[in-house]
Amino acid sequence: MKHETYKEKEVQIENTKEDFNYWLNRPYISRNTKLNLENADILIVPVEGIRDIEYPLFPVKTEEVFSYFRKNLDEKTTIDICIEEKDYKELALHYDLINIATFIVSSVALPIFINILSSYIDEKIKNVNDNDRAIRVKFIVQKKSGDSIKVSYEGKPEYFRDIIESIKEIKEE
Amino acid sequence: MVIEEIEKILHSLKIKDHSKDKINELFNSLKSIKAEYVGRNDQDGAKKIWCLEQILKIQTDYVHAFNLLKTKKYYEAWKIFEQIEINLNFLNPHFNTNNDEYFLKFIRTKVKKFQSLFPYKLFFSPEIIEHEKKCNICGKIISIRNPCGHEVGEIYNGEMCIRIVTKAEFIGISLVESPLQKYSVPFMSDPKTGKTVDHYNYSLLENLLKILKSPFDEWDYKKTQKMYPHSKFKHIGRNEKCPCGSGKKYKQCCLKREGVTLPHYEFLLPEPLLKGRTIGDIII
Repeated sequence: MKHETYKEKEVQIENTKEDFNYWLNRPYISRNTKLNLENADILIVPVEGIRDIEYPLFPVKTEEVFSYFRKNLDEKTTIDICIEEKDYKELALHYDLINIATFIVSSVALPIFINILSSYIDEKIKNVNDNDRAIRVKFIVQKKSGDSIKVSYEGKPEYFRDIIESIKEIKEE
Repeated sequence: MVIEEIEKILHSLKIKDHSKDKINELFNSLKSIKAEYVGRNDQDGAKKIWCLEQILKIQTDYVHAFNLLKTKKYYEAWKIFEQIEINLNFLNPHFNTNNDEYFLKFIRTKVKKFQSLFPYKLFFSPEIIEHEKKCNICGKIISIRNPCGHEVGEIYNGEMCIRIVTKAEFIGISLVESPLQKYSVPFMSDPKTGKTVDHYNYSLLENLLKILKSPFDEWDYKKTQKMYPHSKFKHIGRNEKCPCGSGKKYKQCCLKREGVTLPHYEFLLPEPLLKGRTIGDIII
């Protein structure tokens, strides 16, 4: 496990068992939806077990993030969201911390994922002079070997791109 | 009224001298011009008018908030400052608010400065599950995989696209230092009457507002730390909380040192503002 802490920014990288297979087999995913999700290179995954809430939730503005990725991904790379249409719900915590959805990404799609996520943060967060607000981002990378790592970033949005660029190298470790 | 006239007013800062009726007239003129653009499907024209509406809102709100501070309606002013912040952020992707055209950079900077002088440190923060939302442009319920195509924050027919939450569940409330909604300030209430009591100390704002004449006066401040002798805090017992605000006991905190360290604000004001005025506690 790697753990780096900077002033105003923190990155954590740890091994995880939450790979594509784990998320595709969650009890709230039907067989039909699972078949569709199997083709995705990137999945937005929910948060489970918040307080005593029994159903999965997504951070507020996940709709915007999902739409941004669909608009900017190339034709070869696909993104989907790990939920049934009828069960999609957002959680608004109303803290001054921008909680971006959690993703799982295949290592092949990692470079384009990082580019688009960084652009989203530049355009939608930095551009509206929200630099005082910290962001929280989590993504899981499933390597070709099948092992998965979870990357968590929390800090000022302006540092995100530079720090996360270095993560690209991890996929080959 | 034509666009050029409205732009001239917004460039000139005359808004601070306009009556409520005159301002309403400006808003109505913009609304009529926008309707004409929408009528001929000129999306760029309608968007430009939306930007001018936002600028007019920001300028009038800023003047209004300043006047509220002058009349010591601090919480009312605080809420307006938050609205200005929100409207600046709405405007920013469509119009550069970081230059001083229409004084937007000035207003953004001063709103932040004024906010930092308020004594509010803790806020309520609601926690809500949003079950269903609809688009304000087309009215369609949002489907995560098949969206309506209207993007939040974009301008369509001179209106900004937002999501309206139609089904929600309130799950809790927290006390936070950095809220999303700054208006949720906790106040005490009088146990006898049940009326809200504003228990906050607004002396920093009060002192500054003694000097400022216009919302567009230039000013700044420098925050430092200053040590005060223990003789100033004789009324505070050794076992009481330290006056520095650390939360520790006085005897375990500043009483061990030469004095009590407190934040100290130095207001920086241009000389003409100070001529013939009582400065009070303000240090130049």
